[in-house]
Amino acid sequence: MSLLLIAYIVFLFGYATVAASALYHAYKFGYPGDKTRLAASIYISVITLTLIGSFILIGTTDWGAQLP
Amino acid sequence: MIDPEHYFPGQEADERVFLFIRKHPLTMLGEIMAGLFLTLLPVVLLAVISVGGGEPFTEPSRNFTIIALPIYYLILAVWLFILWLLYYLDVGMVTNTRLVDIDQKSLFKRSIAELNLAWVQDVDGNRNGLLETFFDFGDVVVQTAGERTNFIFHSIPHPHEVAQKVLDLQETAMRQQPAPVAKPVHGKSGNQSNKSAQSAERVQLAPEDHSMREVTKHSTPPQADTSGRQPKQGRQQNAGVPVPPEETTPSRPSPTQAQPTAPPAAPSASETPTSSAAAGRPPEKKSSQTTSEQDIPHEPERR
Repeated sequence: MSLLLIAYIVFLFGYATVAASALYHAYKFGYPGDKTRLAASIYISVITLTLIGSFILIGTTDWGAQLP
Repeated sequence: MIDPEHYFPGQEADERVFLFIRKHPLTMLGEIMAGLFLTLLPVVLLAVISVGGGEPFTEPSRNFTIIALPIYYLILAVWLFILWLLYYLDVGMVTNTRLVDIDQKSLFKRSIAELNLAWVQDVDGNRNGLLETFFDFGDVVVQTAGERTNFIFHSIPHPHEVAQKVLDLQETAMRQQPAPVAKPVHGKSGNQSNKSAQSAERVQLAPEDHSMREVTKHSTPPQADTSGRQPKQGRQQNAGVPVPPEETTPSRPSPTQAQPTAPPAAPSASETPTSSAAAGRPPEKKSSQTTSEQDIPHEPERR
């Protein structure tokens, strides 16, 4: 497996922590009748699409060829 | 958790939120422009590289591109979401009893400042600059009694209307406020009795005292603002309590009185600035300030 792919997986773990913190703040400190849920939904949709796109691209790549 | 009944921690059951203030969206203009620019930047860069003869989507650059691009856009997405959160959770509220300013300074730094409406002395609405004038937003500065720091709502829409609304609510709160403060002071006279009256007032007001304090969560250090728990003259003024003349007289000589090179017309150490003004002498600047401070207790009576 390529070093790039390992770095990407490590990044995703850290990213999940930050994203969860942000979503927790939106849920915890949001105000009644506000747009917190809408913004959180948009954000989750964007990162989900980005992740799906990246996984599709990664799946179509021959990472074994990168090994020395 | 989002509670439809409570807007901020510590909200009382019978406390109504009259104004819910958030910064004008144009204050986010810089962040919005930066977000758009950063969103389009990789597309432009990849296009320039492709036009210049590079091949970012062919081996061996392809592996780097398909890892770097998602990382870039994921970071950008969470950055924009956090910016939006900081904007959206940074609010001010005016209830029937107090002002509340919730500052969301970062994701893990949130502070809540409160100010009882009884402490409000004056409210100013300011619009500075072209954008603020055209789009009607600006700062609202709430001047407080005593030596407390002013309460400022930054870049909020319709600052003059908000200032007027705060003043109206303050007057309403002063009219509706019961007078447990007045009882100890009215029944006694003299300095010693005033001291005991103040201490009695302090004891009575303790459960309801919402004077400005900083409630800090997460990593915000507490401000050294708790010394103002003791009721001051301004609180008594705003509470509609007539202050005896002994209380308004400075206990120490004013700077004018302390000057050794004062002119012969300067008041003596036992002479109050009011008496010098009554003698027909033109008051100096500092003594006139002291006089104006003494005039303040009469303002609530006019109301």
